[in-house]
Amino acid sequence: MKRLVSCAVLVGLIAAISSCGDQLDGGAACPTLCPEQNLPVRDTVLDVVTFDSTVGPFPLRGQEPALLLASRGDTLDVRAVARYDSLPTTYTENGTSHDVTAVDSSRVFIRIDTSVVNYTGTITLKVFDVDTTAADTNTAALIPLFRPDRLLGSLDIPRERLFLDDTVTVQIPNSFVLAKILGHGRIRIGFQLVGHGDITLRSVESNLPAALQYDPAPGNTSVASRSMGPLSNSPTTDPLLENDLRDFSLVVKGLPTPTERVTAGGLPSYRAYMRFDIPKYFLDSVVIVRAQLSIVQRPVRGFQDTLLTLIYPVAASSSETVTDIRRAALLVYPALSFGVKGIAYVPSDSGERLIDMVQLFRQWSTNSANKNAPQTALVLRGASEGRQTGRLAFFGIDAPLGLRPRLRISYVARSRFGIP
Amino acid sequence: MTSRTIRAVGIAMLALPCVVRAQGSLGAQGFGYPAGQAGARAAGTATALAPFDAVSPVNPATITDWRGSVIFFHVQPEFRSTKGTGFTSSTRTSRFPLAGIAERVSRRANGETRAVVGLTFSTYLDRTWETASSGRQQVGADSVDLTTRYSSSGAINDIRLALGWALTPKLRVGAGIHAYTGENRLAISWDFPDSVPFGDVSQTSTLAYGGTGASFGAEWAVSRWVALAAYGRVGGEARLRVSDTLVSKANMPDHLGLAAFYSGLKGTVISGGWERTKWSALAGLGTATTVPRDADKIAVGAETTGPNWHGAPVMFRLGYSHRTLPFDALGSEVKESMVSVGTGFAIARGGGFPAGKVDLALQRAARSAATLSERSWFFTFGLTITP
Repeated sequence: MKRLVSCAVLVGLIAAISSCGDQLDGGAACPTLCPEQNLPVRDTVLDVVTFDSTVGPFPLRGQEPALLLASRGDTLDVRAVARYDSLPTTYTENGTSHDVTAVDSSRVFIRIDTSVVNYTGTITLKVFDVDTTAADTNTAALIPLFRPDRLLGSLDIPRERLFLDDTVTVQIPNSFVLAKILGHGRIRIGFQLVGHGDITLRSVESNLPAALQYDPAPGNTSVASRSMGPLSNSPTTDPLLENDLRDFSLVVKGLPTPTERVTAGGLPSYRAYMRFDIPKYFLDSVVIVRAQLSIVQRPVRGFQDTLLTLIYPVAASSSETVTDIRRAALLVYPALSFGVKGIAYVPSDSGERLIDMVQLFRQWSTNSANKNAPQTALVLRGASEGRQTGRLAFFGIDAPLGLRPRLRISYVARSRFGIP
Repeated sequence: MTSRTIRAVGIAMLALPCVVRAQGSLGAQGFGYPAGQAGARAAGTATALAPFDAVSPVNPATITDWRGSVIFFHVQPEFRSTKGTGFTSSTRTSRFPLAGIAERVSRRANGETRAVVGLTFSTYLDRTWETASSGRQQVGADSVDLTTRYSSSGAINDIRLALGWALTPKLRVGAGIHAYTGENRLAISWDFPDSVPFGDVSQTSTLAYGGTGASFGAEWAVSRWVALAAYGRVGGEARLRVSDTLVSKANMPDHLGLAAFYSGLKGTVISGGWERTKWSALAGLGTATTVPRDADKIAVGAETTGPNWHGAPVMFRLGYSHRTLPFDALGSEVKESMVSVGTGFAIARGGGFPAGKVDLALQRAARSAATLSERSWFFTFGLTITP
């Protein structure tokens, strides 16, 4: 009987355990056999962009990820400035400090981003003394300083040279450097490209900024050559700006200020800011399956208008307390956050463009009960601000109805379901 | 590890809950599949013996069969296959349809039972299934791939407190009060392979049920070989709540059943019965599209004594039943026919086990409605222990 009992228990055990397995073949029985479980997907188009504007230029001066040098006849002229505001007056040899009384081999050293070399033939890189007593924010005062009597040196750069070498060294007068050292002065150098046709060069900025180099003890081989990175000592009232102005790009000529209501990219670069006023129902009572911002591109004619231009729609990160639109357009989440992908089109093209933003919409839904939540705004920004000339423009909320930015959503209403 | 320990562990594992997976099916339409409230012995006769079976919470008079304390529980896996136009699906599901305890509270001077009190927990309407499918969904202007999971778990359960009274050796009566309780936990999820443009959807819903009822029953030994049973149940109020909000009210179904029992053949009993359940009382508890249908069931079955096994007889059973299920599928009545076989044997006290018995049943059900058909295998394992 013991064996019988054991067998019975075993059979029951096997049956019970086997029944716990997950076996789902096909599954087509639903929704045919469970109609009360179906969730209808509803689609709607919302005119919820209540404010739009274009602000710029970006990036803020000194915050460029690299120094851009560009020239194209009379349509584009981008120069750069590097500051060396602190010049050591001594050097050390065998533990003993000596005053600098002479310098040799004075030069400016730049590492070029060879992935963005755009020219043919030979160009000339000119280096100017652009030191001035004008205010730091006075860009206009710098431009006239790129003149022949302030020219410190120049270098012809054949295109093929940058195929083998990514560094450029421009000799500058030793007397100029020594005078600044002895006078406890500063050196501010302007860079300009001169050549024919479309010219673009970009420096490698990260960890390798443009450097001022010289030999502080000519003829003494035991003293190493000195290499200094950019350093700015002004404006003293704003340490952040002071740091930003170590080196910066200077757009002398660029695309005209955009007149379109919604514009992103360009050189100088602008950002489009679009604020959404979404009905509460769609934030707290539905599950968004898809959300697409529909914007209609309008053609932009002009410089490089047939090159593919990438822009990133990014979410505003500041709260409603930030009412300065330019600042709100600056305070944004990184590109690709919330799964919002960039879009790439040719500036001269036109037509409807769709930006998927379901995860961002859901984030807004999550934040909807939070008073200090980021504003429900989207910023369109160029992928390479300060380096990319392409600009995309779109119709804004002042356009005819069919051309305005609109939000297309597909959603499932939160509801009781499953009641037979 | 001793055999005693192994068996104890085995029994304990049987009592563990497991994740239940099933699918939308013909049987589980509406508020669910009426599990029948039959013990394994009755299941072996396609429920024909249920009106005379002390384990089955059908006729409260039958609990006077108990001669002491008793505890029992059942496990019932179901293997189901559903076919329709263009699809076939199959699944396994499991339920614990019945458990209970009973205690004799009064006996006559000759030792015969006079009164027994019993408490049973049984599945009344089981709505447990899950389905997963890959298909396409229209979202806006696009038709996109997605995987959809629908699931429902839970049941309306019946808790019955019953008193059985043997008025005379030939006439036994009983009454019970019923509390219906339980939940349906439903979930829908959509998973899009491409999560950039589309957001996954996950929604849950919990339906909570409550209700009351009262049952009565009698069993009369008309002669030495014939017994008759009559039983019924009056449904009280039924309530459906969602998130603590009362959504609807209706009534629990009334039941009425008649059965006969013949034991004139040596070692063999034959039973047959009819039962009507007034499921239409549930109308209004669900949506207007759910119109429960009053259902009849007929069942016939037999139980015979087999050879002795270690001094105790082994029982063999078979049966057939036919019934209408309460909830339509695709607008058509769902009919179910079932054949079953079973066995049962006593467990002698010892070897670490108290006295008791094991009942096993194997049932084959066929259901159909409109263009749909469904086949199920049920395996019911019942263990009854008399400490």
